[in-house]
Amino acid sequence: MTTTDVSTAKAVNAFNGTFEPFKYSLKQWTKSSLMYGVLFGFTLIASAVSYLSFYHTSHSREVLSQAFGHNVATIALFGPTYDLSQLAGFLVLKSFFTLIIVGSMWAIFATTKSLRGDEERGYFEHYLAGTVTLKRVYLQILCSAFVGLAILSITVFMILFAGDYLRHLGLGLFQCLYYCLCVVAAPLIFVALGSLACQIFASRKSANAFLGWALGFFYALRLVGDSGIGLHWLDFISPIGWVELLHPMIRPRPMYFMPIIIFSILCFLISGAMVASRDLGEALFDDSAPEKISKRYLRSDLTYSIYHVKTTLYSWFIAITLTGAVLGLVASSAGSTLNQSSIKTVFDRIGISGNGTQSFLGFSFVIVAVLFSFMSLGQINTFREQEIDGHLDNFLALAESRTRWILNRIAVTLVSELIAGIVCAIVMAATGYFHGSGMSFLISIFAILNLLPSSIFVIGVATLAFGLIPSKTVFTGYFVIGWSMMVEIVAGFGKSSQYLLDTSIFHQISPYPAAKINVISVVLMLVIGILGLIVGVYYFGSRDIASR
Amino acid sequence: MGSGDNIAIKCDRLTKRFKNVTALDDLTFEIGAGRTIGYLGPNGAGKTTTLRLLLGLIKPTSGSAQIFGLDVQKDKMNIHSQLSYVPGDNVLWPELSGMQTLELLGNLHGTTDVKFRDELIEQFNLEPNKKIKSYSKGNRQKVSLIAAFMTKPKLLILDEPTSGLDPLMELEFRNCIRQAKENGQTVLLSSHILSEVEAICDDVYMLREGKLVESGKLEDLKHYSVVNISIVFRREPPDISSVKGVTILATSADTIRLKFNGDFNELLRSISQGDVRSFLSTEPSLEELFMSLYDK
Repeated sequence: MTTTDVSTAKAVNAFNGTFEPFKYSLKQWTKSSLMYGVLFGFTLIASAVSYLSFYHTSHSREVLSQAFGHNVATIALFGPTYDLSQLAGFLVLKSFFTLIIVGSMWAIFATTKSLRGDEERGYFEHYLAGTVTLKRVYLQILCSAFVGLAILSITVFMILFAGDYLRHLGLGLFQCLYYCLCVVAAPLIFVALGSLACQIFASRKSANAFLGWALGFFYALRLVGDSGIGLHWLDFISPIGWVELLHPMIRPRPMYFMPIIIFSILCFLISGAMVASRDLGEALFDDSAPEKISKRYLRSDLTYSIYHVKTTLYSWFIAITLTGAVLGLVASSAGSTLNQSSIKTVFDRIGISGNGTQSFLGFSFVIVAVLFSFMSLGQINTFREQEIDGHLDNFLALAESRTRWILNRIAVTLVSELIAGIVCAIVMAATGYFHGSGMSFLISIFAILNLLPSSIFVIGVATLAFGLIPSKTVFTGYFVIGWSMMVEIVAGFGKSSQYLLDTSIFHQISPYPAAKINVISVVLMLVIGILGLIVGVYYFGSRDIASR
Repeated sequence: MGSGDNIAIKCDRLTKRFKNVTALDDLTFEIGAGRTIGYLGPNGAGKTTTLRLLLGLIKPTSGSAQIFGLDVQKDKMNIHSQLSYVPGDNVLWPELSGMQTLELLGNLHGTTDVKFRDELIEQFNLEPNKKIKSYSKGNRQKVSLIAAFMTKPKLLILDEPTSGLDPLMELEFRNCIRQAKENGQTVLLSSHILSEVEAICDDVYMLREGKLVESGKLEDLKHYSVVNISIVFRREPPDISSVKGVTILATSADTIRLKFNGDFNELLRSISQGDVRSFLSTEPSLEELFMSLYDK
């Protein structure tokens, strides 16, 4: 080999080694950002089309504007509304906050996976054994995250602009472009904050928990700021408030990109400095000292399974309880607005009747049902994770039966949901009492119990998949929830086939207290769920365990 | 219990297929209670599949297996209460400390000799109050080994048990196995470290492509294998290359070095045609035995 050959080979090796973290991380970011981009894009198009088909007269648009334009509850939950007589204003009300929250959660999970999860798994060790430093790995992963954000934005833009062109939505190039930039503002904030959290905490779990709290805190700040109690300045100190202040589509205020960019750059600079001065596996908060665990958690598989999931369950408890509190707080005012608006005909279309408050609650409980379903699915997914990573082998090689192992965990999930439901009902009844929603504790309890069969259905179907086709457990669960949510969205804004509606578990939930509890649906969902659970547990007991 | 009293593990035509791949093919063997067995084979030979079948983690495509006379599929719980398992992929709970892990595993098994556990912790020089995630691979392996030995099970199933251990700890491990033998415990040890198997095992079972290619006492097996021979002659050596089983490694004016795997009488007759000054025959190591069986 000549000197030139050697130097060329070295250059090639250095190139390969240098960019490997970027290439690996880019695959993950590209895949998920494309998926979310398509989801976001089609959500916007579906909302736009349904607006045009349902609110096709100026009168109906005026009524909508009156119903939600100055409603404190709506503004607190979804931000200020502007010009609901136009499609642009409706799109902001209908989808912007949902996209902010979903986009932020996507950014949190993707960032912590790339920057801390892969380090915990030992992937960084391979990188550092090559020709890159930890700081370079960090920079390359951030570059892949930026590409991911760009893909998300471009995908949403392409779908929105194509929809605008093909369906004559009347949005225009600038509005589409600006909206797509606004959509990635919140994810950018959480990529930046996530990069910092991954230097502060040594485990992905802790980083996720911190970021989840941060998202909740930022949202709560702006919620109070928008509640019309003279604390509007809170919007200016909340990063989610900055995103809200961007005003996508209507009266745009691009200057609010400034605090977002400054905040993000600061986070990146601080985390960059931290990463340059730390060793592999280290973080600001050293969590290598073992947590004091009560010995009662180590007594049996059941007690350990409680310990294992308790942090996640606490988070769900908080999310469900806060949702209950918010519903209790806004039910009365939202209900009185509904009584005077034509939006009630939308509720009538999907089977929600009763007075305004009852209609609002009946409709809003679907959100709690979705939370319960995700809570259930999250637990079933951990079964599969434990099988793949080999922890299940540890239990089964000891004197632990498979049936007991899985039933213990399902019992923990069900009991947790029941407790979360009761706490939610108490909070909802208490807040409702002070704000005159008329929701007694008993009605609240029935309302929550009415939601649990859909959650049991999800548990049953996911357990069935876990027993029969374990590799499809996660897909099956998300498919059931995703499909049901999609059907609900479609159902709310146009005529839909009853057969299609019946395939949604959330459509099967009676909008109690606005309507009577549908006993047949409840029994049907319970029977299918329990049957799925029994068959799933049976097949799990007799199939091969497939660890990595 | 009948035959279960003397036979610890019995596999009867055990076969396991994963789609189109046959991982184990018609595996039949018996392991006597109290024996220490080395279970050998190259990567992908089916060692871990056998162990997972014996633990009931996977089902056989055909055939059956018994441990202490009990069917491994039907009587899993009863069997598991009498055995300990150290998996090849040592997966523990990162958020627990070493001691918390031992307590959890001990409670799940149901029988822990706490005094013996503490002795083992000292013997293996483990710092039990650190988080598992902060342990080195060797230290994580120590936790699994202590967890396996501390319950004093009738059967120990060990999959690559010394992976990551330093030489001193390997010696401690061998001491534990010797102690287990003295206590009458049965040990099934899957390993790639042939010197380790040679040092502590009574019998060896060798797998290749899912089939049992050799089994028996180590000293008996060695007779089947290639022997290294070095012969020095006073005069020019005779031609022995035509003897069946001879592989000449080197020749010089008066010396022949060869590998032999055949009928010794025939070889000796050929050699005696020359004037032999010295004859040195060395028994193969387990490594050589292994290589002679697996060298294609």
